[in-house]
Formats: sequence, C-alpha cells, structure tokens
Amino acid sequence: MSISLRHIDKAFNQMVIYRDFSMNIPDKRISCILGPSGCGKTSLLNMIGGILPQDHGSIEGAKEKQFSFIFHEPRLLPWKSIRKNLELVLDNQPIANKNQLIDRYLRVVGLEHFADYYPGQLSGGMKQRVAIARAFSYPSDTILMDEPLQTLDPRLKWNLMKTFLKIWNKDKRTVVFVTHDVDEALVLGEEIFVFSQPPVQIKHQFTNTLSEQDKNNENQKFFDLKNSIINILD
Amino acid sequence: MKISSSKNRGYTLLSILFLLGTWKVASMLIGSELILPAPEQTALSVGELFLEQDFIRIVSATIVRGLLGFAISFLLAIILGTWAGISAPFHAFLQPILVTIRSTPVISLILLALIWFDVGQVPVFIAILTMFPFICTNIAEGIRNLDPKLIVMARIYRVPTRRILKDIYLPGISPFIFSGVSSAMGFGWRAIIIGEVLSQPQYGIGTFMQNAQTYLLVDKVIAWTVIAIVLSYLFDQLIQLIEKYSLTWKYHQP
Amino acid sequence: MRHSLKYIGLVILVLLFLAASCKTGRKEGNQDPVKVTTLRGPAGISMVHMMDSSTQLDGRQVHYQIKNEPMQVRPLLFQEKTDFAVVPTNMAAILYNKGVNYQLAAIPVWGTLYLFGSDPQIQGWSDLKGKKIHLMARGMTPDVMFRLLLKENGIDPQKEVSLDYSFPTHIELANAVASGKASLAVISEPMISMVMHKNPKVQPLISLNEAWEAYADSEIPQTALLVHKPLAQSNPSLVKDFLKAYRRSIQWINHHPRQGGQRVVHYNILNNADVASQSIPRCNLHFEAAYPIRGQVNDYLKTFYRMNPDIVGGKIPDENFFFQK
Repeated sequence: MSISLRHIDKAFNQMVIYRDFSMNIPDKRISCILGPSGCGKTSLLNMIGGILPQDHGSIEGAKEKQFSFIFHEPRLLPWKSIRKNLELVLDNQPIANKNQLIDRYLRVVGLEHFADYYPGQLSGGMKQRVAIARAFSYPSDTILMDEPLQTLDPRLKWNLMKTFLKIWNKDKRTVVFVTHDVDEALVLGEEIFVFSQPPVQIKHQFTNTLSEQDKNNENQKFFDLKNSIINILD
Repeated sequence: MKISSSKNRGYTLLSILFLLGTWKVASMLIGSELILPAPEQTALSVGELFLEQDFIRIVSATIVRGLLGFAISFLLAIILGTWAGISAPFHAFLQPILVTIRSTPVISLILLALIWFDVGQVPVFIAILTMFPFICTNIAEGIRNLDPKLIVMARIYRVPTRRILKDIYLPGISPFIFSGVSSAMGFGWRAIIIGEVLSQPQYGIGTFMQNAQTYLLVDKVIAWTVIAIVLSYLFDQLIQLIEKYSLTWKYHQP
Repeated sequence: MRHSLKYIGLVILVLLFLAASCKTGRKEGNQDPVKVTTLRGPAGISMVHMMDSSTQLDGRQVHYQIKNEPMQVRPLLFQEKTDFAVVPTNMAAILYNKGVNYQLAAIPVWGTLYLFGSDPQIQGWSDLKGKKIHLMARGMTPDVMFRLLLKENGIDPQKEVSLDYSFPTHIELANAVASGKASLAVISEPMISMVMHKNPKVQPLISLNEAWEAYADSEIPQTALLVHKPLAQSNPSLVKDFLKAYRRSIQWINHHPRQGGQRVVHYNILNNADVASQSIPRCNLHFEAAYPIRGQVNDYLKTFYRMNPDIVGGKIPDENFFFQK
C-alpha cells in the first residue's frame, strides 16, 4: 500500500505550514520534493517518518512501513566504529549474517577499508556515504532523505548521487527525498513535486524523463529543464 | 605535540625545584623546627611513617572510607542525576538542594554530622555530601546535553531501548561523568581527612595528623599531609587512566 | 624569560622577608602589663582570688584572660604573648622540648579526673570491657592517663573498649553526659559537679587519681604554671611575688568555698554558685613550687614516656625546665 497524505494541517508558532494538504507518494519510485528553503519540506518528511505528529489529517500506509532515514547530517555515533554503527541498527533485525551485509554495503559505497575507523577520522563526505550504507543495509521498504547532500562540495555531490543510484537500481525501495537544489532533483528524482512557500501547495508535479546520459550540467535538455523549474520555484 | 610536551615537563620540574628551594631557605631562616621543618627532615618523616607498624591499616582505613563514600555518591547521583536530566521539573527541584550542599562549608557539615551520626560514619557521610553534588550535576548536564538527533535516528531505525541506553546515553554521558568524578574525588579526599581529624576514628590519616598536631610533631603533620596529597593524586591519575581507556574514540580525531 | 626570572626573584625575596619576620621575640618592657592566661576549669578557679586582689604587682598592671581549652593557650605560647600560662603538665613538657621559651614554675592543680557515667553496672575496671567511653581529645591528659590505667588494669584500650572522641571540648563532653548522650566519660572537676547537678543519675565511678596512686605510688601533678623565660631571667622578684600571690589565692579559696563559689560565677567559669562551692574541695588545688618537687614531676612524665615518648615531647625535660628561685 503506498503512502498517502490526506488533509494534513500543521502549524508552528501560529504560522500555518500545511492546510488541508494532500499528496500521494508512489511506491518503489524515487520521489523528490523540491521547494525553497524553509517551506516545511523537512516537517513533511518527519511526519511521514512518524517523528513529528500532524495537527489534523492522516497519513495512510505509513504505519506498516519500515523506514530508513538519511538525515541532513550523518548522525553517526562518534564513539563507535563504522562497523559498530551499522551493527547497531541491524541489532534487532532478522538478518542471518550481519557482518557480511555490512561489508557488502561498505564496499558499494567505497568504504570497505574503513570499517574499523571511527567517524571522527572520516571526512564529511565519507560519513554521509556511511549513512547511505546504513540506510540500505537496514531492511526498510522506504527510504526518507532530508537534503543529505547539502553540505558537500559539488564534485562529491555528483559522486554520491551516482553511488546512490547505483545501489538503488539493484534494490528499488520507495524513496522520498527533499531538497532545494534543482540539480539533485533532476539527477535523482523520478517523480518530482515542486512545493510553494507556506501554506504549502504542490505547484507542479511531473515525471522526470531525462536519461542517464542527459544528467549532467553540460547537457542542453538538462539545462532547459532546470531553467524552467527554477522559474516555477518561488 | 611531542616536542612541546617535553619542554613543558622541563618547566614543571623547574617549578618543583623552585618550591623545594624556597621551602629549604625559608626553613633555614625561620630556624625553628616547630614552625617549619626542613624538607629533608620531612622526607625522613615520610619515610618513617611508611615503616610505622600500622601505616597500612591507617591509610587503608581512609581509602576504604573514600571508596565507600564514592560508591554511594555515585549510585545516588546516577539515580537522581538521570531523573533530573530527563525531567525539567525535577531538575528545577533538585537545583537549590545541590547548590546548598555544595556551598555549605565542609566544617559545618562535619560539626552537624558529629551530632547526628556515630563517629565511625562521619567521614563517609561527609564524603558523600561533598562528592554527590558534583557527580549528580554532571550526570544531569550530560543527559540534557545529549544530542537528541542521535536518539531520533535510533528511534527511526527501531533500535531497542536498552541498546539506546547502553550505546547512546551511556557513552554520551561518559565525558560528563568522568569530569564530575574527577572534581568530586578531589574534594572528597580533603573532606574525608578533615572528617577524620574531627571525629577521630581509631584508624585514619586525619586521626594521626591530629595526633601529631597535639604532640607538636610538625614534621609528622606535614608528612601525613604529603601522604594525603599523594593519595589524592594517585586516584586522580587512576581516573584519568580509566577515562583514556574508555573514551579512546575521542583521541582518534584527525 | 628574563623578565619572568626577575619577577620570580622578587617574589622569593618578599616571601623570605615575611618568613624571617615571623620569628617574633618579645622584649621585656618595664611598664608593660603582666599577662596571665588560665583555663576555664580548676586552674581558673584557683586564680579567682588573685583576679580580684592581685591586679597590680610590683607597680605593674596584671591582666588575666581565661581560655576554654589548652589548645587555645598554646598559640599564645608560640608567639610569646603571655607571661604566665596554665596548661596540662605533659603539654608543658612537649612545649619545652620543642624549644618554646617557657619554664615550669609551679604545680597548682593536682589530679581531678574521674570516669563518670550513668551506667550502674560499672563497679571496677573489668566491667568496662566492651563499653564505649567518651574522652575529650586524643592525646590530651585525660586520654593518655585513662589509656595507661586501662592497660595497667588488664584492658587493651585498642581492642577491648571503644574510645570515642566526638565531643572535642570538655564543655561539650560535660553537656553530652548531662543530657544522656554519652553514658561513660572521663572528665574533670568542676564539670563533674556541674553534670551531677544537672543529671542526678550520673555518678563518679572510678577516680583516676586513686587508680594512679595505687599504680604509681604518687599523686598526679596534672596542671602546670608556666613562666616566660625572659621575664624569669630579667625580673625574678616579680615572678616570686606572683607565685606568692598565687599560693595565697589557692589557700584562700580552699578556706572560703562559699565566697569562692560566688567569685567563680562572677568570672563565668561556672554558672551556679552552689555547684561551684561544692566542687572547690574536689578540685584538688594546692600550690607547690616546681623545682622542689621536680622528682615527682619527672616520675609523672616518665610514666607517660614509657607508654609513648611523644606524649611528653620525645624526652624527659632537663633541669632547665624548672624555674629556680
């Protein structure tokens, strides 16, 4: 059953973010919520993930889901090694050979030699890669991502996006990610939702038809699509 | 890092030599063994103390009191400190109590304790009252300062609560605990010895320090003081060692 | 680096200067008042008549002060701020042996210590086994004397009794016995009379004086009068006159306990004149010049010396301990 938000109301300190907001999240696809900073995208993600309660309305299909969350910051335990960080989330899960699983995903993100390092010894980009490995090694059916690439430099960003797609292609879970960066939306997103400022409305919704070769800044199609979207954004 | 640490050690040595030198000169000028004995004499007295029959019993009695006081403080602090860390109302309730205990002069606590308690228990009671506020405050602060983001992450990933406590709360609070324990121990040893001086249990460093004072054995008073300082220093080093061992991740920063 | 060395050097010089000026000696001025320090107890009682009548001596004023505990008198002796002082005899020996500038002039107060309590079972020393006994302060005369007598009567003070020092002054200890908080204690007159007056259940159980005499075949020269050496050397006739006046004062109060009791209350040593008058005979006051009885004093000190040399300051004092006329 796919996730569906029905008539959501949410306000913070008397500022209304969502009023009678409804939206369907397609299953097994990468949905991207694109909107200006501060428009409440993170709150929506948190509501879907069950971290934040809505004031009114309901979110269908979320209770049955098992979520992975890739946050804005890596959120790794600084006092545990990378391996142990991943072990922590796998602890309660019915998985046969956890170490093998961890090794596999670390290899996929290119960090197989760093399993016994501590987060303090890794760079920001490496830590986010660990967060990605963690999100995928955890047996979730839905992955939520909150602007995970914002703090990284452009080259790293593009690399991580490619890595993410590589993993996802082998294991197509429902993904919802929020960003204000149009590049990210166009590279990663399949279904793109453009949000307005609060009270939030979906200004534009479309399916991304760019091919993999198209997804780079020199490509004309990419460039045009990007421009048209920037114009729609508030 | 290595170069400057040996330079710093040189200065530390210089400072110690300077202190000893000043002591020696002052004792020569004053010329009265009664007021200030020479450092060599005191060193001799310290040596004599070691040979005294009951030395081990005396020092162990003080150490046992200290450890007992510490154990009880620690337990109490974990319970109350955790509660205060989690519950803001309880934290507000506990604050004035802790501040009062911390600000009361140790001597007042001792004089009251002598009235309320049996003589043998007074030093332990004093130790608890001096150590508990520090450890408790630190635990509460540690919990309040814990990064809630890590907890949110663990909750989403359905990490069982017992593992959240063991793997997130505990390590997160550890630096605070160590800092609290370290301060507490420093004050605690001093308080125990004063407690012993006034309650005069049969065995204890404070008791014998007081004895020496009664008999005007100034070098012995200083010698026992030296032993007390060494004791405090050793435990401080022990705590630092344990801290280094448990918080190794802190030292793996680039 | 150079600057900080200079600065450190300056600090050292200042410290040394301060240290050197610590050593105060007192010059004898001819018109300075004579200072007398006594204790709030039998020693004070022994002086009440003097405090009334001997306020002038050889043309000099005499100022008296009463301290609660010997430990409060001790610093005055270090700083040489009193001409005459009364302290326990063993403390006098310790001070002399440590080079403090005073001599023993007389013994005005003899044995006044009792084991005291409300426990009717105590008939003799062996009944004390397993009991808790309160003492005023470790290392002071009541403590060392009591421990010695315990030993002499076959009781191990470390293992067979429990000695408690939690009431550190004799006033606190007396109050504790009166209120029943302490059931067995070693105290001295006049506290004994005071406590018995407040709490009739409390009785003297063992006289340490008698126990000592049975053991050592002599009395207890318990409390000592010290005189400042420079004064003794520069003005021996003043000292002699003081001693004479003191002897008279003691004779007076022994013969006039009722009036004496009122004077005791006047000087705030006790607060009940009847209790004071009753305690005077038990205070064992009789004046003996120190030099003639030096043998007895030395025997007393030797007994403690055998128990633990530190009690008398490490050695038996030499002849110069005693003031000679």
